[in-house]
Formats: sequence, structure tokens, C-alpha cells
Amino acid sequence: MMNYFPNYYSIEDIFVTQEKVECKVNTRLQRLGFLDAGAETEDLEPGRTINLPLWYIKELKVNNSYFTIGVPDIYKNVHKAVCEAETTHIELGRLHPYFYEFGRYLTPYDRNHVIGRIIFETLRQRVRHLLDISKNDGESKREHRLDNIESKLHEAGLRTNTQYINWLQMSGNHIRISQLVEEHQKKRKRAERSDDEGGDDTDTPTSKKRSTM
Amino acid sequence: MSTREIMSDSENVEQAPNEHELSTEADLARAYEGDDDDDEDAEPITAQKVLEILETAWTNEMFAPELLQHQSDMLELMMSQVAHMEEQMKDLDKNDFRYVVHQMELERIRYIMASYLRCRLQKIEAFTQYIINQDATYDAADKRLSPEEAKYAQEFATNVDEYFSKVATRYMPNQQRGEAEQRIVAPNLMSHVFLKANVAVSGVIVGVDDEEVDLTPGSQHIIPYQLVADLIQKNQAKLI
Amino acid sequence: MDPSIIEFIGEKSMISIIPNFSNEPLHLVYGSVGPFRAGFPVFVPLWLATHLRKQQKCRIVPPEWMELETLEEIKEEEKRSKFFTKMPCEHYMVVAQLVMSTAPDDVPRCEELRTIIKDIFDIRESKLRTSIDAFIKGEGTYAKLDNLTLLEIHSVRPILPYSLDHIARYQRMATASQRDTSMLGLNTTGSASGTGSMSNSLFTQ
Repeated sequence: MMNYFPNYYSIEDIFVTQEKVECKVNTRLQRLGFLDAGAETEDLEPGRTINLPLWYIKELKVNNSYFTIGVPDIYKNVHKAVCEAETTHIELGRLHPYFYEFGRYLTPYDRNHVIGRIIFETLRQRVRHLLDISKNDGESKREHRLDNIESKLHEAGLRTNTQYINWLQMSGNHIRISQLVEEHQKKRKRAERSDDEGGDDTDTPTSKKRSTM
Repeated sequence: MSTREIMSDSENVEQAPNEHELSTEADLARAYEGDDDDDEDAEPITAQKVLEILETAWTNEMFAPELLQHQSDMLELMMSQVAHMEEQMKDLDKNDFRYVVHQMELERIRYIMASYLRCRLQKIEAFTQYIINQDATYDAADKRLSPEEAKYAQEFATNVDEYFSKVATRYMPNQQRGEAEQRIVAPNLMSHVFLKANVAVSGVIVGVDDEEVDLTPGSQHIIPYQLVADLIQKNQAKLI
Repeated sequence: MDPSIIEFIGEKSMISIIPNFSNEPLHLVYGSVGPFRAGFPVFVPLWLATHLRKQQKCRIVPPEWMELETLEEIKEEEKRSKFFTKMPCEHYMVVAQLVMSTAPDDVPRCEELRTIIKDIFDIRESKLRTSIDAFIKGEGTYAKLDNLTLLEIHSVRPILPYSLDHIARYQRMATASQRDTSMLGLNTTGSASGTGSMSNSLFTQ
């Protein structure tokens, strides 16, 4: 499994770029009134605020004359916590499921350079916490604690830890069968059982290989 | 009596790795030693050396974000070595101590080769077009893809394209078909890797602000791959 | 990377066995082993040692360092030192794990040894986590990790390199956008500190 690195086909990237961003209209945009749900005019009038998807915004020049892109409040709201290095308790996933990637896309549009700094600092501050919860069997996963990037890191950490513990506990080399084969065998076993109730299945590969765990 | 025969037979098995077979591959040895000066007299490469090279190639490949240079020559040498040993072993009793031990070692070697090739295939499938494009810019001697891999990559790319075309893109407006550049999936060359220096290397740039560090032999580091890619290529360091 | 691969790599370590049979030397691709003479110690790769032990064809001679006093010292040293000390064996965990699970009877005070080796690993692992924390807070993207063994590196893989990848990505983004707009004369805030990477030598002397 490779590390997340956005590309054309990545589903996360598609999800992130679907997100809506608040924009202020700067000039009259002819016949674009339909973009503004609350307006009845045919043209989009200056001064109005509308929501546009990120996939559109990200193609705009930073200093384009049509829209001013607003900094979402979620980033302003964590500013204080970031400055005080108190970010580990933040329920980042609740703020935004793609807190970091969404912020990354918006970074160039933020003329005060807050977002870029915030996402960078936030992750930097929270890595230790991620390492810790991956170690102490974080199975008690708190839904909204982590954003998407963090959940992936967390899962990777948990996997490492499980693998290590399994390795420490084994008393020999047990080649484990792949999940696919195992699923298939389970299915077959179920099928056999329903065919022949009480059949002896002690010598299936599954039960043989699954020792001492 | 019969044991004696097997013994002498196995003597052949045993001697083989270091002597005949591989000693004829002198130019390969030279090719690998590359720019070293001491290649006047074609020095035969031993099976042990080939295996070491393959092992390093295997671990480097596992940890490098990009596809590294192929090792077809070394693989071929090792395959013929394995085949040769198996040929020599075929008359031994399957329960013979020597048979079992040699067989175990061959299994280990086969695992390394298979895992190495599988790892490369995974990268080829993940970064197909990127790798094909990149390879087109290299000279024949520096190609990352082996001829077989190049063929595989090309076919894989074609199949994926055809599939996308059949199920989706042909139903889409024209401009959406022209995003070939945008669709290329590239590895993150700034991925962090764990590195161990094989030799002393001075003046390695370790940060974006050109900070330099001298690596001592055996020292270990975590560092963005791109900053040390050339050290891996030159075998001055390895990934761990 | 799965620990089984680390085990595979560690199984190349040479270890002494006392065979109960005799045989000519074997010329393995990796180099020759033997001759085997019943009752006399001989060095073989760990994978062969564990195989022969399972077949009851040898006794394993625990490596010199696999001994309580030595390990106590190592443990104390590891606690005292701010840095990672050099382990007596590059694959100490793998060797210990394989020898002790295949041949517990060949290792005197096996259980005590097991505990102390695990202690050493745990001390080093938590030291690693603390160093990582300091290293990341110091805005580093490069660090020296001398004397860490593969399995210890594994304990933070892939989460550590992956995290650093993301941090570096966001850092590059923040820096680049600041640079771009400052050229446009839009830079209003003071420049943020430490945009480059910092080397960090907390991990080593």
C-alpha cells in the first residue's frame, strides 16, 4: 500500500474537489445568475456571495478579477489552538473530513497565508498523537477525531503494530493463507456444511494453518 | 559404495557455484563494476556476489518510490545458477541432508527474485505511463525497464486505455479525452526513505535550503528519496 | 513491510551450532558451511540452524551476547544514553526470537532473557518515538538514525515516513504560495520562520 499522493484517479481527490467554497462576486458576470440560488437576475451581480465547487475554483488564477475566494471558518477557528500548540484534542474530522487536502487546495487563494501555515502546523503537532494512538491499540476509534489523511496514517500504524505483535507471539513460521483464499474456503465450508450437516471439517487447510495465534 | 558416488556427484554440485558456468560471464562482471578502474582482467563474478547484488536490488526496489534500473543480467545469471544446481541435485535422494539444505537455499533465492519482480510489476502497473515516458528519455544502457517489462508496460497501458475508452471516455465530450498529460500517475519522489551509507559520501544536500551533510560509512538516515536517488544508483548507499 | 521479511533478512545471520552428525562442507550460493563434525561447533546461517534444530540434528549455541549480565549492561547503557547504543547484533530481536522459540532448551534462563531483550527493544522504541517528536517539532525532514535495527525502524514504518511526506507536501505548498504572492506584492504578514528543513542530530552523537 502506497502513501496517499493525489492523482487524477484518486477518489479522495475527487471527493475533496467536490467540496463547495464560498466566493464573493467582484464583477457582473453575464448570464451566470443561475449559479446564485437566491438571485432572480439573469446576470450574477457584484457583491453577491455564492458557493462554487473546488474543482472549478482551483482552475482560477489567484488574482482573478471575478471572485474573491473566502477562507473557510474552520481554518480561522483552529488558529488559536495551532499557535498554542494545543491541537491534539481537536476533532479534526468533524471540522472537515478532508481538513488537510481541502486546505492545501485553498492555500494559494488565502492572501493572509494562514491556511498553508495552519495545515502544516496542525499535522506537525498531531503526528506524535497519531503515533501514540497507533501503538496503544487504538481500536477504540473515535469517529470524528481524525481527518481522512490522519485516519489512513492511523490505520497504517495499527497494522504495523498488529503485525509486530503477531510476529512476537508466533512460535514458528506459520504461512498464513491469503484473505481471498480464506474467504473462498470459508464459503466452501459453509456450503459443505449445509450439504452435509455435522461433516468433519477439522482437516481443512484453514484450521490447520491457524494455530498458536 | 553408493554413498560415495553421491558424494562425488555432489562435489560437483558444491563446486559449481564458484567455478564453471559463471566464470564465463566475465564481461557482465565488468559491466557491473562499471567505472571502477580495476577491470583490466575480466574478473569472474561469483554466484555469491550475484546474489548480494540481487538482494540489494530487491530491498532498494521495495523502498524506493520510483522504479529502479532493471537487473536482467544478474537475474539471468542467478536463474541459470539455480537451474544448474537443480540439475546437479536431481540424482540425490530427496531426504539427503545436502539435498534438503540446497533446496532450502534455492527456495530462499527464488523468493527474493520473485518478490523483486513482483515489486517492480506493482510499480509498473501503478505508474505505467510515467515510467514509459521516462524510459523513453534514457539511453539504451540506462533503461529502467527490462525489455520484457517494457513490453508488459506497453501492453498494460494499451489495455487500460482501451478499457477506459470502451466503458467511459468514448461517451464523453471531446475535450475530456484530451487530458492524457493530466492523467499520468507519478510517484512522489520526495517520499521519505531510510538510508544506510555504504561508503563515505561528502556534501549530500539534505534539505531544500541546500544544507549539506557528510555521510559516514554505515550511518543511517531518514531523508526524502530524491535527495539521495543518485547515491542509490551509484551503490554508495542502500535503502533499508 | 511485514516483520516476516525482516525475519527473512535476519535469518542470514551466522550462528554456531553443535551438530550430532558429520558431513562434508556444503557449498551454498551464499558461501560454504561446514564441515560438520558431530559434537564440534560450526557456524551456519540462522535459517539452517533452526531447520536442523527442528529436525533434532543439532544444538544451538546461543550467541555470546545472549546472556543475562551482558544484556543487563546493555539495558542500563540504553537507559543512560540519550542516543541509540550499538546493539551486539544487527538483528538481535530476530535472532533472539528465532533461537528462543525453536530451541528454548538450548538457552539457559531463556524466559529471563526474553524479558530483558523485550525491555531493551521497548526502551529503544520509546526513545525513538520521543526523538521523532522532537525532530518533527524542530521542522526537520532529515535525521540521522545510527544504530537503529531494522525491526526498530519497522515499528514506525510506514507511519513516520508517510507523515513526513504529508508534512513536507504542506510545507512546500505554504512556502510556494507565500513566495508567489509576495512577488505580486500581496504579502501582508511577516514571513513565517523556518521554511527550510533542519537537520537534526538528536538521534545520534
